[in-house]
Amino acid sequence: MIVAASLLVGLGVNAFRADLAPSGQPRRLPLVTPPKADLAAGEIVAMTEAEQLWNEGVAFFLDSRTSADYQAGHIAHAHSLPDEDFASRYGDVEPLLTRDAEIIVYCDGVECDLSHRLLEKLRALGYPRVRVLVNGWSEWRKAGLPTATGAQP
Amino acid sequence: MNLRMAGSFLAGLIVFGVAQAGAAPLLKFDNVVYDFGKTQGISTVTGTFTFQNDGDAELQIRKPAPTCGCTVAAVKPETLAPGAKGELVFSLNVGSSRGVVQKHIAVPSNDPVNPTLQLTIRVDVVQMYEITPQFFALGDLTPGTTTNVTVTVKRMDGKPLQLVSATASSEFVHTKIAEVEGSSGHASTVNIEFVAGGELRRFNEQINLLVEGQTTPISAVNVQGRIVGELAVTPERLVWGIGSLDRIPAARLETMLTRSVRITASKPGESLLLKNPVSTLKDLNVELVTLETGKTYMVVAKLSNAPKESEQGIITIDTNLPSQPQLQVPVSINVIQRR
Repeated sequence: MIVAASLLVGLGVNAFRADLAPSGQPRRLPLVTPPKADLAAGEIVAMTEAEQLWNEGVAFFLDSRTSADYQAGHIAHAHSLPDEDFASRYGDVEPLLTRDAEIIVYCDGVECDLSHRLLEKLRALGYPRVRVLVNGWSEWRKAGLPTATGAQP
Repeated sequence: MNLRMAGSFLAGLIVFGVAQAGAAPLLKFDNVVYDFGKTQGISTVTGTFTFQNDGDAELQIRKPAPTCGCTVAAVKPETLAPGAKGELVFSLNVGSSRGVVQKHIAVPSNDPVNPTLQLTIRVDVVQMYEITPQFFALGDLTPGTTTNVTVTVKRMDGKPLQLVSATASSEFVHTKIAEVEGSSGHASTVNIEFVAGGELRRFNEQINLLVEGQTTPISAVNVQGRIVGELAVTPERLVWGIGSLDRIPAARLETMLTRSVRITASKPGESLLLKNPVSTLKDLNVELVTLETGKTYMVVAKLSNAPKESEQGIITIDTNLPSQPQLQVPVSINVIQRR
């Protein structure tokens, strides 16, 4: 009876706490929605397809983060093309590419826009088949897919 | 007496129940938005969000999760007694961004009200100089060709630009600065002339822009392309990046094992003849396909077996060109088997 009384008192107090939902569970306040990526549907590649293309080796993966981030860890087989150093580094990857090459660009974080910017630059140079793997580095690692470290081979 | 003790015990339990029901940590930031306003001439901003535990139970903060790899955040301390204060220090690399950059940091904690709190960082990045374009891809050029491109440089803070030099990285680049008429000294153009001289090569020339009173360039412009001679090879290198072969559908295996190189005569009126494609890799078979007689060819390279290990090699092709009797295409096969 004593325990029941305590529980009743506790429940009564909780009922008046504004921070808890009627169920007693914490209210989940809405998270700030990340800004909508300025990408069309055809400019995004899904993780499953990216993995398939990677397995087949038929797509070029380009890492748009800084060289230091690339060296710390990147998608295996990916080439480094930092958006910030695009002008000086594009020449490193151009010899590998054809205009119809399937290219997947990525960076890290749902709000990272380095890959978006790299996509725009590559499309402007005449590579129509460029797509973004959104939050690519984190998603790739989360999926347990092969990664590598160090400078570009 | 027994009744009195039982009463006290009951009262104690009730008080304990009330305390337990009400005890909770409460994460309260002094501000959840850090607005740097307009910034100029910086690539990274750093700041500190301050917070305290306004609840009546211990607050535990887990690792902050920025929504962009460009943001780094750390919180100290991670455990706070009621009333204690802490800091979340962050840095945001805005790089070469322009305009409003807004990023978020999620702060997970054991606060039942808001188990994941979102912080916002906002910066309005104003570039002091606007340089358009900063990069030129000139494509394939034949020796002796002269190409001219123009860059416009503007100073954005209302002061005179005073662009004094545009220094090129080689003797094949010449520059000329001219003030933009009607810009009141705030804008200039830089004419860049590239002469395709020297050896056949891929080039990436850099032109550094310097303004009066400064010793380091305000920025650089890159001019990139290749001098191809009598034929152009695309791509210049063949690269295979191979994952797990057992995960590739049989119908796509052929595509995966095959690559091609396009070879085109770049000198008008000259007939190009290719023969004897040879690979130094024993499992790589090469075949020459004529797309346009005397003009365009395709070398199709196909791996007969799925490679088990990484290897490097070269494909050689004989030509009828005295200036380039043999061309070489490097081959790189990179194998990373998935576990």
